[in-house]
This record gives sequence, structure tokens and C-alpha cells, in this order.
Amino acid sequence: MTENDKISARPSEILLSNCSLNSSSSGSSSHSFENKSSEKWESKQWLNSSGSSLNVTLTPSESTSEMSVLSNNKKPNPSTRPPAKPPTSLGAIPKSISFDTSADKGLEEEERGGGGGGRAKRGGFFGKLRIGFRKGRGKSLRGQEEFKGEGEEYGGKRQGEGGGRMGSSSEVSDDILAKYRTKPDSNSAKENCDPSKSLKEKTVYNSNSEEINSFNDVKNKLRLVLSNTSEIPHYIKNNPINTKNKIETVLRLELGKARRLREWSEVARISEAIRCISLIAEDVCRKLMGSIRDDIVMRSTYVQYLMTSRKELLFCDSFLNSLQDQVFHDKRQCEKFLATVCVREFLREQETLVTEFCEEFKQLSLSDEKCHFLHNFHLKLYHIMKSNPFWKGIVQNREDILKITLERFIMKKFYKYSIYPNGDGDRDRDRVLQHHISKLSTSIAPDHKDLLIDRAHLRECPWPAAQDALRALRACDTPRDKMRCVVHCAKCVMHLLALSTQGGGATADDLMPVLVYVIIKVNPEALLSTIQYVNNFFHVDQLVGEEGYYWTQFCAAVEYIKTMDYSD
Amino acid sequence: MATNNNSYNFKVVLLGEGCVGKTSLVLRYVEDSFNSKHLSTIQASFLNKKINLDGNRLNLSIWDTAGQERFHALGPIYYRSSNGAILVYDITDMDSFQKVKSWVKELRKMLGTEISLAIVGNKSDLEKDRHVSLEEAERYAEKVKAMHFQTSAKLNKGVEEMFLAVAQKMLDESKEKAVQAPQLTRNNSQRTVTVVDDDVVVTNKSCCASG
Repeated sequence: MTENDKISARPSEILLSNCSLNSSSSGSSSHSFENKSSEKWESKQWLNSSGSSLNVTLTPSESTSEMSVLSNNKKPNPSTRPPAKPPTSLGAIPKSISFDTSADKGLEEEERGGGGGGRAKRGGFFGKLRIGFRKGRGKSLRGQEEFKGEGEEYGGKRQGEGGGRMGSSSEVSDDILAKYRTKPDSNSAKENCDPSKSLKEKTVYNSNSEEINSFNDVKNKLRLVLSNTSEIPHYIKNNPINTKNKIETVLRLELGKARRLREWSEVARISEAIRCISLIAEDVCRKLMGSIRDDIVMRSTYVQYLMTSRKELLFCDSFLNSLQDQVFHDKRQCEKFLATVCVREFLREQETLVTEFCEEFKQLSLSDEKCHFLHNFHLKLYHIMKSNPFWKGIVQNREDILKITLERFIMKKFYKYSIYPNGDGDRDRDRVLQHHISKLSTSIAPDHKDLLIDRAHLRECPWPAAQDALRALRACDTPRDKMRCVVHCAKCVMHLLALSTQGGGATADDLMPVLVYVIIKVNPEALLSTIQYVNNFFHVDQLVGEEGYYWTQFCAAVEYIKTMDYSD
Repeated sequence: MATNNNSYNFKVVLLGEGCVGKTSLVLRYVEDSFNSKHLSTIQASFLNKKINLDGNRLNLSIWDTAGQERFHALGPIYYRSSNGAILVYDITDMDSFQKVKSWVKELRKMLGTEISLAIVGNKSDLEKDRHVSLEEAERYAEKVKAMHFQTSAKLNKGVEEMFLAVAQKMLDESKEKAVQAPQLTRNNSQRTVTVVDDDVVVTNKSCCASG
């Protein structure tokens, strides 16, 4: 009971916190789980039985999404299997006799006890996965219980063999899982089985235990060697030669391949398999193939189940990654806010210095003088902050973000003095351009003679995402923010253009006219002053790299707009 | 522009008429240096490329430009403060070669020898439709002291070599300049470089006028 609780409680804990972190995002990705699992698996039973441990205060959408995720983990849990299953599984028992062992008998027996008495057991999904992964790595080559983990290899072989016996894949997974679960019991209680169904294995078994051992041994060797065979040539498949010869031919092909690849362990295994095959008779060979084929059919559903599980785990993984990103961004947001609070407090301390500076700044007239002056003031304040023992602890590890925040505060303070360095002259200039653009925007169309936007890109017209990005320009105060805003807008255009461009990305030829169109439609205020402002004051990292490129494109677009006229 | 002894940042602009394959050249250069799986996320218009050349670390910023004739006047905004220009024409299209000539004239007038020029005849896979003869193009390139290359972005011929040669030329010129006037290159601020460029423009204008 305690173990089961642990297993089931952990995932639900994680998921609950996920939901509370961000219910909207968890909803979208988890619903896909639910659809899949509900059509593939009959999950009602486990829902009823395991649902009791869930937090009932969840809203409906959250609880379904959570349950659906849980279902991936819990469904195969045998404790939820109705006790009425054993009869169906008994019918299938004989198929698995040939490769039973008592290896995990103790485990399975405990499991069985759990099924009957409602006790929890550890042989559920997690136990199987554990075994499966261990086996998947091929560590135990001959362990008889490996059939659970080697299901996938069988899947591969089944295709190669072209057995065509997929009939049982429609079986409900619970049945299949039940078969595996009850198998060890069937071994010990074989007398209970229907003799007609297990006739073949039984005769082998009864005749001589030594013989069945060698039979199983050969089968295991063969299985191991053939598990990675991708394709068996059809001329071998369709050849009327006897089974033994076919097997030997295939093995020799494999041997050649392994030698070519210098996989000596594989070579040794294949040669051993060839030796074993050469020792046995044709009818045993046929029996061998029949038995292997039965194994494959029986495991096919399990293989499917594993593949579905894997897919769902991948979904889970990407979902968790996105949550991690969200947490990371939350952290950055908090850092930013902390920096804002600190800088505000710090500037209050330095009130006199700032006022002093403000007066001096107003005296200056030339824009590059102003720019240098401001830059120096920024550095000075930053050094004061850094050397102050009170702020030292805060500044450590947060140098960049504090520097930028400080810059933002200072620029904000001097915004109205620095954006229009020439006062009314600048305002007039901006007003003229704005009037020009607003006149243009009444007549502009994507196929205007000065734009001629490629017809292929018109499906995204009028590029609203880029327009919105550009509208944020007036809300930004610092040159850095203004430039980022413009870069974001240009990138938006590029991304939208990429949607309609097959292969490769959008090109500068496509970007330019669209950017012009977007700017005309948005018609940002104080456009020329803004460009001048950024060009004058932005010099922390200078205008290089990608940001510099898009900023230049933007400036070029504005220049182009200046030259446009109103004729169609 | 040297950031320190062995590392350089160079800006290269791609100029040329529309449809001559400027973007394809960049894309080809990118595609061969990156996993093709990532291609969809690559911006074709701007590319940062780090290369090693003779123990020097070069950071090339390759700027694609709009090639349509109506945007021609925007050229100066793009090629300002660039170290190299790649002028692309289509060997099957004489007009595109004439366009290259006009670019060369403009660049030499505005930037003088500050900028390394490479004239590139693209679409060399369409040899049978050639309208610009190789001799003519090479003769012209030699006359204006530019390098000349033939490339095929489609077949990936000569693309990498062309970018490497341009990088080498910019590196050489940058080193030469550093020897002549060490204080200029030491001063890495773009602001200073811009000022220097303006000076050069002035002197060259006078050179052109006198010559």
C-alpha cells in the first residue's frame, strides 16, 4: 500500500503544481494525451479506482488534463485490473509457456496477491519499464524473462519475417498485460491449461526437459541474432527451399554484414547460432519458427503499448521543458523588477547629484556633447552604486541588468530634453512627415507602384503582428528599447514572410516593401526624431550585428517613404 | 575594425540587381556551414559567420540588401561603414552587369579604396545562356581593382571560395591599415570609425575631382 501510494502520489504532486503554475498551457498539451489514451485504452476502470487519490478541488478542465497525464503512468497498474480478467488470460497462457521462467516469479506472485486482495504491488507499469529498459540495453542476453523488454526487437523482426499474423493486435492491452502477469503461475500450474492449445509446447516439454532447454536455448540465440535484421530479401522469403536452409542463408547474410562492420561480438553470436541451427532437424526448425512467430504475435500489442508510452513520455518531456522555460522567464522578470526597485531607491539617494546633472545637461546644445555627457553620467552613477557597500551585494551577479535599468531611468528622466534636441524645429519636421505618411496611407496598397509586394506574400497582409510591434514604439523611452521594438517589428515581418516562402527564409528583397507598408500603416509619431535619438544615444554595444542590420533596414525604409509621392 | 590583436569584425554588403541570386549565395554559404535541418530558422537576409583565417578570428556580418531598382537610392545607408562589398551579377543578363558597374562607380566615389570589392558572376551553371563574357568581366574587374569570381549557388561552385577570398582581402587591408596608422585601428569605437570614413570621403572626392 505504501509503495503504491508513493508511486502514484509523486506524479500527481508534480502535475498539481504544474496546473497551478499555468493552467492554460497545461490544458492544451495534456488534452492531446487524453484523446489518445481514451481511444486507445479503456481507462475508465483505473480512473475510478485511482481517481480517489486526486485533489478534488481542481476545476473540471484541470482535473481532466491531469488525469489524462496520470493515465499514462497508471493504466497498466494491475491493482486497477478487475479481478474478472484471469479467465481471458488463462486462454492465452499456453502461448507463453515456452519462454517462461521463474526469474521474477516472486514479484509476480506478489502481484497476483495484490490483484486478488486489493493489495498494492510493485510489478506495475514502473516495474515493467524498469525491466524493459534494463533489457533494452541488452545487458542480459540469455535471461529468460527478457521477453518483456525485447518486445521492440520482436516488432522489427516481425516485419522482416513477414509473418502477417497481426490478427491479435486488436486485443485490448489489458489482456496482453494480464497474460504477462499471470505467466509464471501458468508455468507452475500448467495442468490447469487447456491442453489442446498448448499441445506443441507441452509435448516438447514433456518429452524431455533437456530437450526443451536446448530448444529454448537455440530459440534465444536465434532471436538475439535476428532481432536487428532489417529486411529479408524476398528471393529468400519466396524460395521453396526448406526452413532450415532459409534460416541458415539469412544467418550467413547477417554474418557477412557483421564481419564487414567488424562487429566481432555479433560475429561470434551469429556463428554460434549457425552452429546450433545446423545441429537440429528440419521439423524442429519449423517448430522453432512457429514458436517465434507466436511470440511475436503475442508481443505485438505490448510493442504498440511501449511505443505509445514512449510517445507520451516525449510529449510529457516537451511539456515539462516549456514549463521550465516559463519558470526561467518568471525568474528573469523578478530579477528585472528587483533591479527596478533597487535603482529607484538608489536614485532617490542620489537626488542632489541628479538635479545637478539635470541643470548642466540643459545648458548643452550639441547633440553629441549631450550624448557623451549622458554616457559619462550613467557610468559615474553605476560606479557609485557598485562601490557603495550597501548596494554591493545587489550589484553582484546582476551587473548587466542593473546597468540597463539605470540607463533606462536616466534616459527616461532626460527623454523630453534629448528626443527633440532642436526643440520646435524637430517637432515640425516630424509633423510634416507624419502628415505625409497619413496622406500616403489613404492611397497605399500592397501593389502600389513603389512597393510591388510579391503576390505570394499577400496572404499575410496587412501583417498585423508587425504593426502591433511597431505601435509599441511610442511607449519606449530609452534608445535601446526603441531599437529593440523596431527590430522586433522587422523580425515579425520576416517571420510572417517566411510563412509564405517555400524553403529558406525571407529575403531582403521581400522585407523592404513590406516594412515600408507596415510603417506607413502604423505611422508612428516623432519618427525622424526617434531615429536621430537612437542613432545619437545608442552606443553601449553600438549598432552592429543583427540588431544593427534591422535598424538600418528600418532607417532605409523611412528614407524611402520620404521619397514616395501620392500618385498611384 | 580589429577588436583585439587577432580578432576582427567585418561587415560585408551584398549588392546587385534583384533576381541575380544574392540571397541564394548567402543561403548556400549558410547551408553548407550548418545542418540543413536548421535551415528554416535561418534568416537569409542577415548572417553572422565566424571563420578562422591564418590564426585570425574573423566575424563576418553579411548584409543582404533589397535589389529592386526603386530601392537603389538607399544604397549608402547599407554600405556605410562596411569593409567589403560583394557585387553580384547574372552571367545571362547584361543589364545586371551594367548595374554592377554603376555600383562600383558609386562605391569608389563614396568610399574610395576603403572597401574591398568583389564582382561575382552568379549562375555559372547556365553557361550556354551566357551574355556577359568572362574576359570582359575580368578585364573590368582588374581595371577597377576588384576581385572577380564565377559562382553557381545552385551547384555550390565557388561560393565558399569567394567568401573566403573576400575575407582574406579585408583582413589584409585591415592589417595594412593598422601598420600605416595604428592609432586609428586601436580606436575601435564605431563612432570614431565613422568620423574617419567621413574624412576619407572628403579626401577621395577631391581625388576624384582632380583625377
